[in-house]
Amino acid sequence: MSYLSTVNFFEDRAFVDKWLYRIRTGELDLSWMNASTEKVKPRPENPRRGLIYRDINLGSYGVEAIPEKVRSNRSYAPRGAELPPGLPDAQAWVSRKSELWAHNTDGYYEEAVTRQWNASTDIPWDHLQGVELPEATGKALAQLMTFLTEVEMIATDTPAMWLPRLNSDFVEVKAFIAAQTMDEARHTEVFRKRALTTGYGLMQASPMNEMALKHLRDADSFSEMSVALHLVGEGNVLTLFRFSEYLSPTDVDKKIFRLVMQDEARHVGYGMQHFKWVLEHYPQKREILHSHLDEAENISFAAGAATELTEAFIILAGGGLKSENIAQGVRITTAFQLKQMQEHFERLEKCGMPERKSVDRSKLFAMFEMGKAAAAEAGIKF
Amino acid sequence: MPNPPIKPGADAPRLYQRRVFRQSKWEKRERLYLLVHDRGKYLMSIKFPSLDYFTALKREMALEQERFKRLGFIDTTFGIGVSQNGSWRNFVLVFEVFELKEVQEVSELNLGQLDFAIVGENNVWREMIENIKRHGQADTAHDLNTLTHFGEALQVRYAEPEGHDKLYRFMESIQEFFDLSSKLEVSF
Repeated sequence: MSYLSTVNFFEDRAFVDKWLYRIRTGELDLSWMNASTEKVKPRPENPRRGLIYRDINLGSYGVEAIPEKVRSNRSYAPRGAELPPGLPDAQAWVSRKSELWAHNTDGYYEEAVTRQWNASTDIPWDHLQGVELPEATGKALAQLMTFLTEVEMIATDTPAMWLPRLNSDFVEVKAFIAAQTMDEARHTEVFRKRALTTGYGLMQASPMNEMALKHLRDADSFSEMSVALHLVGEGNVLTLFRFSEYLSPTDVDKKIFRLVMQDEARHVGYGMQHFKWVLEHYPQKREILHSHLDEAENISFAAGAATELTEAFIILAGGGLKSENIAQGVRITTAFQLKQMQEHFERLEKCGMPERKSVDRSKLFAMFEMGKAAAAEAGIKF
Repeated sequence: MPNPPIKPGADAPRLYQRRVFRQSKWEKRERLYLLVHDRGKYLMSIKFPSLDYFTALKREMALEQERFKRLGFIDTTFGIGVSQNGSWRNFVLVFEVFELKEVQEVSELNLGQLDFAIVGENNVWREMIENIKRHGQADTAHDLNTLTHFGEALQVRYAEPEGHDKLYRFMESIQEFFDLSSKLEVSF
């Protein structure tokens, strides 16, 4: 057992006597009724939305009441509750607001709650009846789905493992991260189901991608995890989902990618807002985040170019294995890879890190410049 | 294709503030809609591009509240630009909670005040709308992500990447909003 109570209550005479005394006499203590907490009367600002987190952002319960360094609450006491002596130390790793906060976190959470969907019933699986994809396209789609299932499994694990590490005063962030975990679990489910419904089953796991994914999981701080997961990883995956939707051979695949891209774009939104927040409120972190980005960009570049992923894209984009298909597939896949990099640097610039758009600062940017030149020479627009 | 009348800066005139949406205009639009729509049947076709077209979609969306509630909150303001013979018709759509709250025709799209804008030639929009009418929803070659993906058919313009990402955060709602065209009789 990793945790033992500091008291053995079964052998604590005073505790047992008090319990028996109350049963015998009905005498109540009622001291909790005098909790010195703020009394408020929240109401929905817009009844169409219902009572949302923003409506209860009041006084000592509000987000403005959270100090930069949360020293008073190290337990699971809800923010704004009275903290009596004896609350255990839950040993949160993150008790500094700037290390996890983001503008509109509550809004992203509320949006996540209303935009949940069901991988079993919201996808028109019955439309796949009688659909036979050509072998090369079918196998390429199954390989893409295998890769995405791998991606989403680690995207489920990573936010989930940070949940108990976040101080309970940051309830809105915890709620958002919990919702993200659910989103990613659903993505794992839908991609696994689609892989099997291709008729080719799951294809090959990707060592290069798993190495990249492991980097997301093993970050030293929440901010580093967030920049690698929400900004780099999910930013790239958002572009990938849009690209995959574009290439989708059936309306079932289109629907899947439209629904997953909604969730992914929401995660990217939180990631951007957090990145902005940490750079503004904890400027000492800038160099650490630069350093983490150096590695995140290194492995995302390698993962994006992994054979088992790139070749599946080329076949899907070109529509087959004939030389003209491959030529077309290479053009579209190159355009996609450059778009991914372009949008990555756009996001970093918007968040307050424009200096990465320099070949001296970012090796990925140097690759982007090289790739653009090569694409221009080959007449590829993106 | 020539550039659409789009202002990229945040300093451009504030065209889309609420004060421009006068109630009388809305009442007029609603009355017009009732003239063309009777118990689920359209008595006359609606021209595209026009404010009437988007007002009709607004009405259809309101009639399908349960479906759009199921899709979730949609909070975004975006522009639509339609080019024909070198001139542009531009519209601003304001979505809030579960519905299209306001729609307005404007002389130019101010990207500083929009999350994003989708712009393109009238013939591309026409093909999309006719495809939706034929199939009840856009087929795999005519959904918005496909048409905008490489900017060859329709283009997505934006000033801020966060605004751009909203197209994808609300993609299913936006697609199903346009799929409501299947319920309209549209002329071009």
